[in-house]
Amino acid sequence: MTSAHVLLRYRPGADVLTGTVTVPAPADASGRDVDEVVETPDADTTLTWRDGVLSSFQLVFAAARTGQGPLPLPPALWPTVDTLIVTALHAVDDVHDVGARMRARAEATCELPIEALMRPAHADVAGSPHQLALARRTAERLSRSLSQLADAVHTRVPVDDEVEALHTDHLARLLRELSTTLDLHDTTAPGATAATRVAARAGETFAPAELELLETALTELDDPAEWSLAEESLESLLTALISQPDR
Amino acid sequence: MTHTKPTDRLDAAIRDYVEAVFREVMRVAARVRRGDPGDLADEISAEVLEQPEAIMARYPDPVRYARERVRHAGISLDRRDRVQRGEGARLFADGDGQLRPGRVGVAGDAAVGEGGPSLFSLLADPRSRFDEAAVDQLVAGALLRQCLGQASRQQITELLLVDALGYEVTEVAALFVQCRETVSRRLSATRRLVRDQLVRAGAQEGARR
Repeated sequence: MTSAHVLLRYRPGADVLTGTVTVPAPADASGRDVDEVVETPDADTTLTWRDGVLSSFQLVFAAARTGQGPLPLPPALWPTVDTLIVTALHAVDDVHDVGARMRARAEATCELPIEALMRPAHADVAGSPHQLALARRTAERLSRSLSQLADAVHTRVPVDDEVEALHTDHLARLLRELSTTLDLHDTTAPGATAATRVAARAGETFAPAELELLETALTELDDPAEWSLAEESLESLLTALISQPDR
Repeated sequence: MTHTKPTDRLDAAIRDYVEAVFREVMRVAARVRRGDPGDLADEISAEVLEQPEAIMARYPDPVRYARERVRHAGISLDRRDRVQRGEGARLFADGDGQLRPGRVGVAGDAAVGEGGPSLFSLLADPRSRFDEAAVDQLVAGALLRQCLGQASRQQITELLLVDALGYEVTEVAALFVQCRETVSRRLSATRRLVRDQLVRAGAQEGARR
């Protein structure tokens, strides 16, 4: 059984995980064309497959995503990824200098059988031009709603609680990042939604009912088929926030 | 220039901004697949940390800033590549023994006139400080208008498409349904025209001093 060498690199400052896979070249490989496929299932994920084997990958908001479901990587990689992320985040816990945090990176390697890194069999579904145009328009509307939501969240920054103010600021900025990412990439951003979910749960910006509404909207944002529902959820949340600006 | 006293909230805002810039650079660079996305993201986030408040004031949205910056980095790289392949790569020993490009080029980061960066980079560089950039951009814009005064509309369009927006000569030729050699010849003539004008403007400026 041939094994592949996997090098994982995690940057805890920006929460970005990348990886490269080195596979020993087969004896008859010289002069043969390599079949390379680059998959971008969403704005936060890039997977490259060479001859059906994972060659490299990149996940944005990797830590935020680990807590909320399986990562879009071969399951054999999950334990190493989990360990790497947890230890790296722990290592920069007390680092407050932004430059040092951004420069920090952690690496891990593992050997896995090639069979564990094969591309799963699934059909690539490309949308029609009409569907893509429709998605573009919906993404624009969702982006606007998220931006308005970020503005509304900013009105809830407490003046007498520094810690809570930091939480609320951070949440508003993540909502803006999600808004612009949807607008510019025209596709889902499950990393950004996961990070927003984590930030919303960490603070006290939202009342329980509002938080539930936000979580529903974020879940719907992760599936383009439910984007119309997400629009409604975001509208309801926005109305609730505007009618009650202070908690 | 006044500096705002850092507070926890400002520090947190800077941290969030830099992180968001880093992530978007990674997203875009992974799709373009030119070099290691992490290297480019490191470079750009370090630039932001050098003058975070100025950049945040000019580009409130970190994701859009990252987009602009990556695009600019890509164009600069393309232009530099082309210049190095063509006009700027040949170095000659000058009177003082220093090696200098044989011909000045406006198409890349080779020296122009008295040695400043290219006009197009000045006009579009999102890294530059807001206060300095505003003046530099006005000067560069006026100089560029002056240099292009004698060029035809077609020549100006081709120069902007290739040298400012990073299109290949073959793409521009296809756009105007002309052969590559014709566009390339016209482009060389326009660059020569701009270069002559720049040398003249530099000489006039020197004489005034």
